[in-house]
Amino acid sequence: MDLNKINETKADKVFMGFVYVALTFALLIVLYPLIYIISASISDPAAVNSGEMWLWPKDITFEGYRIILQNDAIWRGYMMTIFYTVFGTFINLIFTLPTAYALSRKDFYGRRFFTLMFVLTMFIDGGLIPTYLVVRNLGLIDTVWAMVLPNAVALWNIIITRVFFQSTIPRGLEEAATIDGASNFKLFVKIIIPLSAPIIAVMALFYGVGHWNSYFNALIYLADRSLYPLQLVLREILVLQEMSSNSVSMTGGMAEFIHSQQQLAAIIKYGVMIVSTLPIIVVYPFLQKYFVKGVMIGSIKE
Amino acid sequence: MKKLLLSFSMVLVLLSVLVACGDDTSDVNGTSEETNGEVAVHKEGFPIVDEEIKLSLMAPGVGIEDWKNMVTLKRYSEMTNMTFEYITPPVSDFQTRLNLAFASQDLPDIILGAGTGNLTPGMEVDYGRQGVLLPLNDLIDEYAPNLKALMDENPEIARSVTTPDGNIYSLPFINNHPTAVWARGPLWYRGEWLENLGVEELPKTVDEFYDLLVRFRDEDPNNSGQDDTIPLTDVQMNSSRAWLMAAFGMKEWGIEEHDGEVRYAPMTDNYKAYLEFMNKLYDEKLLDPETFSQADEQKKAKGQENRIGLFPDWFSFFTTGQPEEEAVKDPMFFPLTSEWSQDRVVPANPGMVRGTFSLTKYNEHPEASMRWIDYWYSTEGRDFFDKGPEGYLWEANEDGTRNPLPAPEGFESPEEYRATLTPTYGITPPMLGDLVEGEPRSDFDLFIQAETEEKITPFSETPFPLVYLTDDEQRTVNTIQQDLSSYIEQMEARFITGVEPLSNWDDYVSTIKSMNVEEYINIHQEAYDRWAQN
Repeated sequence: MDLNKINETKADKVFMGFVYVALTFALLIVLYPLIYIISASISDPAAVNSGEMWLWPKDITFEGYRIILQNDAIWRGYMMTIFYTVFGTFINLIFTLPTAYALSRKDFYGRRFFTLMFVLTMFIDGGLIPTYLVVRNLGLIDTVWAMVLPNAVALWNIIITRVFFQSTIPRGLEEAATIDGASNFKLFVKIIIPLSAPIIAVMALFYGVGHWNSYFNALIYLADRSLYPLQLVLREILVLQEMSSNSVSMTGGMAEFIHSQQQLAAIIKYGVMIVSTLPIIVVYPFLQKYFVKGVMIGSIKE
Repeated sequence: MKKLLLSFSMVLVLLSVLVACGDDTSDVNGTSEETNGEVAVHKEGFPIVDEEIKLSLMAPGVGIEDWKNMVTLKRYSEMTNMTFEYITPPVSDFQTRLNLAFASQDLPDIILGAGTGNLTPGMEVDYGRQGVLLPLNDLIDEYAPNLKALMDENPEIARSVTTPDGNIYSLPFINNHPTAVWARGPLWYRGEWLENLGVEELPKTVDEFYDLLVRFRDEDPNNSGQDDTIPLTDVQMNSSRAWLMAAFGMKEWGIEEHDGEVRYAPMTDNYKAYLEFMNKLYDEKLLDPETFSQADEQKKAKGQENRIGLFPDWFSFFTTGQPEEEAVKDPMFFPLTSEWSQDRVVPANPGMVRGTFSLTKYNEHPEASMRWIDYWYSTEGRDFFDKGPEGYLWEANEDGTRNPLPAPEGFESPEEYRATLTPTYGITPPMLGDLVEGEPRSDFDLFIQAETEEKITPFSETPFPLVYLTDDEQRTVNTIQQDLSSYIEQMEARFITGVEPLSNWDDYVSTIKSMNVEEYINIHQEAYDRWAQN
């Protein structure tokens, strides 16, 4: 008794057929690498490298995960990465949200000037060395602050947030709050922030993923190994794998070192891919509903 | 109005950037200038200084243990009364950090273990001239008796580390190890295959070599009953090239020297003959068809499946995956002769790696630093830094020989344990590389030495000495080299795979000529002549 059912025409059926074929194809394209990585992480590296393992695990072994779980450096890196991501994202939000809100208010004196100055930084960049010197002279080198304070805001995110404020928060609401006696600060904290859950979620995700994946700042600013984030630890293990143990001006000691690193990398390579992306994959579905909404909202202007 | 404001603020920003650049240099090195330079340095014995001094040291870290926890360095600090702040960026990205340190002038007192790949000869010349790196000549004479003795013994050392202005800016790793002559990993035959085919004697000419590869292909040498053998494999010819080119009378895939004459090998007729030969191997499936597309791990996978007959690697068991004891059955490739080269030639390693120890201008104690490193060049010191103090990796027997100890729980191998004891693991340290006195040697060690002495040492020739180029020369060379090497790399693959027929050889040579190769050769010729005069 399906009243909504409308008989499909032949053309509709053909069209839907195409849609399903195309979707299935797209699904396979994105799904295959995921399955491959999961299978490879529990297969014997020899089977993976020779191409015998191409979809389902072969010669199943959990050796890779065992090594990963026992590796202190990876765990310490994991803890540091979680810390940098949580703390860094917190700092990002603390700076991004008020800035964007201030810039969104038409009655903000000097708004044009500040916006212009912010935008300028998109085109004029200090470059690596001057930035390094600034960070150094601020005394941030080799501290956790070097990981969270430089890049405390990303201009692009400020713009997105500003557009969100401009387009979703009615001016009338602000006026009403002011008439009721709210100061600007109270207005921001009590009214604007509670209304901005979607954009906060989106910003947290943007910044968070950025922190999670970053290794370059750590490489440049950190000397103490106990502060290394996960990505840098993994990079140390995996990059050497790319080097052939046969390049010129090699000494016996180096050849053996690289060989042992290659063996290690071959075993844990796919396992660490999963271990290091799992948290992001787990968090993503919870933020996803905001994510879609947030990006949509940012894109439409009244 | 808008435009005006924009351009005004642009100017403002630019100005502030310029101003910032201008006065930045004066206070940049504020941090390292606190100790007074007036510390008496003992010329011999330990400690080196009476009053404790602290220096900063930058070196590539292999990521297994922090340098400050390494037992050798801790003990050496107690002996010398010198302590260090160790800055050890990962070896994979060391170059980035080192370049940043030079560019920002945020330099440590000592740069150790960088090697030519990171602290290039060009950088030595450049930063030496600018005074950023200290000249070490006088310091060596006064404070480095062990190194001095080595240099007196082998004049080649001083010749190779002295830059065109007459100064030495970095100390080398000096290799006296049995494998020191290896320029790269050798080619290895799969011993089992030779046995199955009843091959008594390894090929000594190109034709015999070809015949053996054909047998590898056709006669099922791995007894698998299948047609699955690959006679010769490599990853992009990177390692086997040198051995096969040598059969056609070339020593280097680039600049090489023959009797004082410098030439560029990839444009010679010898090279054409090499390409022809390799093309033949490729066509007949004697050379792995995946040579130009596979990665190292795929090559190793084939080795572990016992599918390859001849392959390059540092040691054969890296590829075959067999235990070390079995690897003594895999013989090393014997250098070949051909109508192009009646004499056997093997390109050899100069036995040194430069750029392993430099002092920067911020170093307040260059004398003490030199004495500190000199110990590494003594027999006692090198053994200490190689294998650590007694009780960790070894214990002494009554007759003075060493008894190796097993690695403690939690370490996969003694090598991995060694990496937690001493910094000389995985980097090129400024020291004397040699066998440790009184340490027992495995059958495999002896096998490697015997193979090297039979097949490499008698035929070894250095392709081109370790020279320094002047600033200008270096710049020109860099520009030319970049185009040149990517072109010949690409063309080598095309010629061998037959995508480009060898009838296009003349076009190829004229393209190389149009890339300014003449100047490239001339610069190297001049550098060689300077070197030869010293």
